[in-house]
Amino acid sequence: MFRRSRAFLREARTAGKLTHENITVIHDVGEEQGRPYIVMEYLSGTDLRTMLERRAVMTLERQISIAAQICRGLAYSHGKDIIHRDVKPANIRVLENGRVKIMDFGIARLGSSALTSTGTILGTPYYMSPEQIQGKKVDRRSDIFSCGVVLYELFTSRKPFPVMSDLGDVQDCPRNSRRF
Amino acid sequence: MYKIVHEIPEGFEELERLFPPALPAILGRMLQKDPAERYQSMDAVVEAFEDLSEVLKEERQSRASRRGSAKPGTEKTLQRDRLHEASTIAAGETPCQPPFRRQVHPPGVLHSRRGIETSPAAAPGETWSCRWIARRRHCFGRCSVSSDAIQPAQWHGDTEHPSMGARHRHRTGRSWTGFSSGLPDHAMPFTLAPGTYVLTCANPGFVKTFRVRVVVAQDSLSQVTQTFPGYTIERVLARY
Repeated sequence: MFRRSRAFLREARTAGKLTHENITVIHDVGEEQGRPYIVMEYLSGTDLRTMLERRAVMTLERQISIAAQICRGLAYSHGKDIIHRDVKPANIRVLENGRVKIMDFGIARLGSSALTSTGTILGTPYYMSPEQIQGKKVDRRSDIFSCGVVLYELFTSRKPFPVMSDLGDVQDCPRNSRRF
Repeated sequence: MYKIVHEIPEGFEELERLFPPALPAILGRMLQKDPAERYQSMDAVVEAFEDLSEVLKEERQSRASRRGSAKPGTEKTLQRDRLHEASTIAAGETPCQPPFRRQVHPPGVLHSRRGIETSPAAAPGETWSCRWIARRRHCFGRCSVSSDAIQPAQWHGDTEHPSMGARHRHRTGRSWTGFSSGLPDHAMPFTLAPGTYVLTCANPGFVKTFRVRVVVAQDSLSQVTQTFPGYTIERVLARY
């Protein structure tokens, strides 16, 4: 546990050095009574996961603008040699003014990456790259893959690699409209 | 897990069919299994997206200019244009560009899949609010839909629409409540402005995505649903 929080602090500090309009600013990290904490900028708006779940209607321009901003943020961090490792819609926030912010930088490295800073457990690794799943070396190109999955979902509202039990669209219908 | 490592993205053909070709190309390359085949840096991806948005902007501009300098229409098309404009203005909407494939039917006549039916609620001067033009008929597959369907805007209270079952009742006014479309609740408050949309239609055990053009603003998705008998409009993916 101790080692973990060390890693947490280290990662958060490196991520804190990132200043880019598409990356969430981290003001402070530290430890309080043995618990690591992180102070980041306050963000309005909704995260991309919620937007996709609510099936927000977006114009093609808007989708492309969001996509380009995500890529720009990641390109900047890759330039600083920081790999996100956990690019997913829940980690991307779309502000009211249309600005996109990527969150949880480097924090995903914590442990097995099943735990993010908000404490949610990842159910299915939809957004993991093949090399990540196979336990091979992870580099910036696996961020590109994860980003690709997110963008695929952004444009089509469906996951490119759904799990078998996931009936997807059909399952989303109310029960009474399903007649098999 | 298996799919990520071994399979191609699901629904990729659809993506190719519905979006400008550059987009599936970018996503396809990002989703390569072998890192060496992907883009080697995020900067390249950013560049690709910037190119794409530029291409779209140019396309839009050229389309707009083409529309502006349209050659004068024949008597017949001009008349249709006027009719179209009159019907949209009457519906309280700002007149929009005539649709891709123009076909204006006189009010009082409902064009449904089954042919021409006379609407019971059609009164003189009644306005018609929605008109759907499917630009790509072949996309519908099993779902045979007329390429142009008109529904009246002001529907008199509790009148049943002839082309719909007794279950579908409408209230006076423009909102079509009481319509049991099987639509998820969160899909209801959408307002569809005129434009081209990519929609997903779900039928029990069958899902289809296609492109639809909205000519006059829609209050909610439920109005769209009526155009596709037997189908439920499930989600709006994008707007062009």
